Amino acid sequence: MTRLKQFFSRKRLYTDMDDEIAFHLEQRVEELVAEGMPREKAEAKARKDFGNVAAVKQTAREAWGWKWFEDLFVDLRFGIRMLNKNRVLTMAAVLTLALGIGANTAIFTLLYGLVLRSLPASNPGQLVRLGIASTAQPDDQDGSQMTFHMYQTFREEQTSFRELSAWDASEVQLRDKQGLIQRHDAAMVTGNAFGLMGLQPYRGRLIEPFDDVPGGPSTGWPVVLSYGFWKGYYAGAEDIIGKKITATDVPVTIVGVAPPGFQGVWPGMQVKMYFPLHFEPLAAKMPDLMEEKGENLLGVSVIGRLKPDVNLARANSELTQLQTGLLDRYIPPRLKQIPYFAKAYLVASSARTGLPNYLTHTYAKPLYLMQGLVGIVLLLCCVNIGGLMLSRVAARHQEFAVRTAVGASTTRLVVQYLTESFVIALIGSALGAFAAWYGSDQLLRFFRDPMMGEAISVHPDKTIFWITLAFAVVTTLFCGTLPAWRAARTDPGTLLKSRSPMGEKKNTTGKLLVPIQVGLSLVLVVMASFLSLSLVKLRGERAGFDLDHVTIQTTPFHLLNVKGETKLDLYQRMVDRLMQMPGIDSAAATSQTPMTGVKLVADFQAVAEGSTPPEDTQMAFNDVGPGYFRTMKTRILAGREFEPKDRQLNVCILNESAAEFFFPHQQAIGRYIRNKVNDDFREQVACQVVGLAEDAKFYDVRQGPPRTIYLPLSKERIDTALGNLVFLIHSQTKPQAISAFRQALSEIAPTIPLVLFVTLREQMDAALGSQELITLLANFFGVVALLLSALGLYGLLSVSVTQRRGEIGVRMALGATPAKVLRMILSEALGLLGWGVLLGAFGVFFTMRFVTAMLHDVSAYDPRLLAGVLATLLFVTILAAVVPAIRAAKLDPSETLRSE
Amino acid sequence: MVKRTENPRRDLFPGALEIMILQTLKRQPLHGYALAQRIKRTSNDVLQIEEGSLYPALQRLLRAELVKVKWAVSSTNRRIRVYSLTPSGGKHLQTRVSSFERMLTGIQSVLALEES
Repeated sequence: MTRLKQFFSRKRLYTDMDDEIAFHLEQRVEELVAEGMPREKAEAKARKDFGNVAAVKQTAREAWGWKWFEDLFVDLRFGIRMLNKNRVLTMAAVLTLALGIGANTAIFTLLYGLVLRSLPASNPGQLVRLGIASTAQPDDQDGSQMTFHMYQTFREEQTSFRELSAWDASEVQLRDKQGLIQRHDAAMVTGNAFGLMGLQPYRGRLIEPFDDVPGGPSTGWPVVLSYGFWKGYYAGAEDIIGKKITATDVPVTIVGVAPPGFQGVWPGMQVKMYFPLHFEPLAAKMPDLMEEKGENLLGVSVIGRLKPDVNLARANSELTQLQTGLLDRYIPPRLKQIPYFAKAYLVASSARTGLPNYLTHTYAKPLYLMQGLVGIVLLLCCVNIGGLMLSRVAARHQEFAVRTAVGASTTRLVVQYLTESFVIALIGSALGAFAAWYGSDQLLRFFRDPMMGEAISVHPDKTIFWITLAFAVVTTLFCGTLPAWRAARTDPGTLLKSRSPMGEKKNTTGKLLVPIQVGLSLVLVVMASFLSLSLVKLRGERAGFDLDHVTIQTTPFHLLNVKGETKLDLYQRMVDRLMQMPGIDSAAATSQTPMTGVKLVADFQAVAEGSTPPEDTQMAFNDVGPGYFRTMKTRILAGREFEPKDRQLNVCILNESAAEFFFPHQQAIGRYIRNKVNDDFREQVACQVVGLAEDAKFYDVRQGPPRTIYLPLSKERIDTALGNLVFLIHSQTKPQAISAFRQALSEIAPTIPLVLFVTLREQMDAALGSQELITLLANFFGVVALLLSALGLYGLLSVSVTQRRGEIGVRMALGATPAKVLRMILSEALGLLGWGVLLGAFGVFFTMRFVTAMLHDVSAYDPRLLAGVLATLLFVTILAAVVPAIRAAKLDPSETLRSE
Repeated sequence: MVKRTENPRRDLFPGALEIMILQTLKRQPLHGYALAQRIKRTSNDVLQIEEGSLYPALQRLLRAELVKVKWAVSSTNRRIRVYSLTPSGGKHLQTRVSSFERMLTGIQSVLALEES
């Protein structure tokens, strides 16, 4: 019989044994009686010989080693009974915890998925990313990219790595069953990339070294599908291996499916397909792409696997030795004057969690902040439940006293109490986890990449389950220990003698908890108010354009491979056609849209008569097509906007700030601007100012409008600098813009796929997404925190008033007026508040620096805001205290004293 | 307070009772009461063990699978549990007895030294 079977049949084992012992005693009695002893005596002697029957049974049962487990069951049953008896308290505790644990699990799911999870590779700690960084930009130390040539050379020369591989995020187009062309994220990898990770294919094979050759292997280009894409797009078809598909007009063969759980090396991104790196020129329809990558400093992302006996520090020191040669050789001379490249160096850092990308950049810090925020909330929940439980201990003192008196050990009592907390924590976490499961999906909607069609993917997994459980255990210890400790310290003698439910002790522990609650709420409320104010200010700021009615679309016209004026004509044809569509007010093409966070600046100077140009001539610039200002609803204050004939860099439009900068107190229209040709702007500009536009924000809503110069979409730059242009469509509703664009595209360029449509407002919200979410959370939890501390204070004062009935009665009998009693209770509350505020002030001091980065135009120590928060706390405190205080003031001294 | 008594009045050294049980069962399977009487009688009532202490010991042996138990019917027509030795119980007994004997010899020689 196995132990498990024995355990479940232990009842039988026990009764059998009891039966056996009974038989033993009977048998003995019979024998003694047979020897002539009277039955009564015989029974007594049999028992005496046998020993303590109960103790023997207990010891025999313990021999099986299940006692702790049985005790736990007893505790659990008892705990559930006790909790069931106090349904209100239990409900309050469970809901409080569900909130705390749910919030923590939800945020942690995101934090884990985006920032903490290791790549599902073998021994991911050995994975390292390598690339160029610069001391000129200490904030941006990712260093995971370099030129392809640099990678190739380094791979030959280095000795620290077992192997190095290159990755590049790209995309391909597939034609779906309806004949629509769709874009899909793809990764282009060197042939050794999967082998280096130690990944095993789920079906077929992965990309192999022989696949990654110029022109492709003799068997044709291969593609490996991600597990999710195979399951979703191909419905998990078993006969997928060997299937031929067309990716961006190139025939490829599906050779395998990547293992489930592997979604590429960029956290949050869902790579659908993997191709050999040399396939990328075909996928992008750029035949010279490999040469370009060879020189582009962001050409490829490099992931290496360290040799087992090499650590990161040694790899970095080797990198430092080799970098002088590499950088000299591969950074083009014209770039070496730029501070970034003059101070460039090569760096290796851990790639355990994958490669940094837009999502991790944008959301890692906010996520940590949010985790801190909900951490405080969980702490607060624990303190609150601790307080609730403590009040239960007070009420159950009699019970504990009796139990101690009849021999319950301290440990048993503590365990009993912790079990009760654990039941609450378990139910709370189950509810919380349930909420988090759905909640994290909702939260994810705040985390958007404005350039990506799909929401990022973060999947809860086993780790999350364990984390939730860990939260439950930690919570148990937090809220159970204090009451348990109090309960165990109960002195049965004094308590049984005393008739008062609390003995003569004062509720000092409870008094400690309330200031902590107040302090924590203060931190949350202060944070919430600052963040809200900041967000309100941000949203209220005038942008200088119409955010709500402009829909944008970046059509991949590069697939058509048109150049120069033909390309300009194509865009103009689209714009003209769009303008004829119903519901479209205006349309235009532009190189940059506002609010992307991309900062483009170059050197411009006024061609001035006599006056020397100001020193700082760095200026934001944008290449915009005819109708840009009309479409964006940015007013032209003087002159005109660009017309279709403006296709050379001989005209330009300045915004007010730029005009004031170049030509202070003068008419700008008709004057000339030229530029300094350098890597920021390689074409010579000598342009006449033809228009003056109102100031508008540009790259970031958090910053004021920069001085901006607008240039026309020009023949000079259309092929070299501008890439695909962005269509701006002004319409009353987004669907109108979408249907108009679909129609126009199907007429003019039917082979081109559509990309996600977003409005400028959506694009900006995506940029503000995390801020919005944090503010929302901070506010929600701020209110919850206030509520919790009010409840805590109310509970404490109620108990305290009940406890002090006698004292208050005596005071009143001796002449204290009800008003004085009222004041007494209120001042007790205010005293607690005072301590709480003091604690909270420390908390605020330590936490605010994490938030200041997110504040816009709000000082972290804005006195008006702080005063407002304090007033709120005061109001809540008085609200919580007033009911118990009035109850105390209404006590009838004669009755109170009689009942004592 | 309930005193928790691991081994009620165990005057013997640890494991002695188990050896005696195994040794007794080696000769023939017995039910609990008979086992108690047999041990008492064969030890000439020298070893004053509480009869009750037999049962926890039996449970320990059961758990260690050194003995097994079967249902039978007594002469008085009552359902009783009859214990017998398992093969591993037999082996265990052998090793314990030999180490026990070694210990006894050791003690005896020390005692003899004391006298001379």
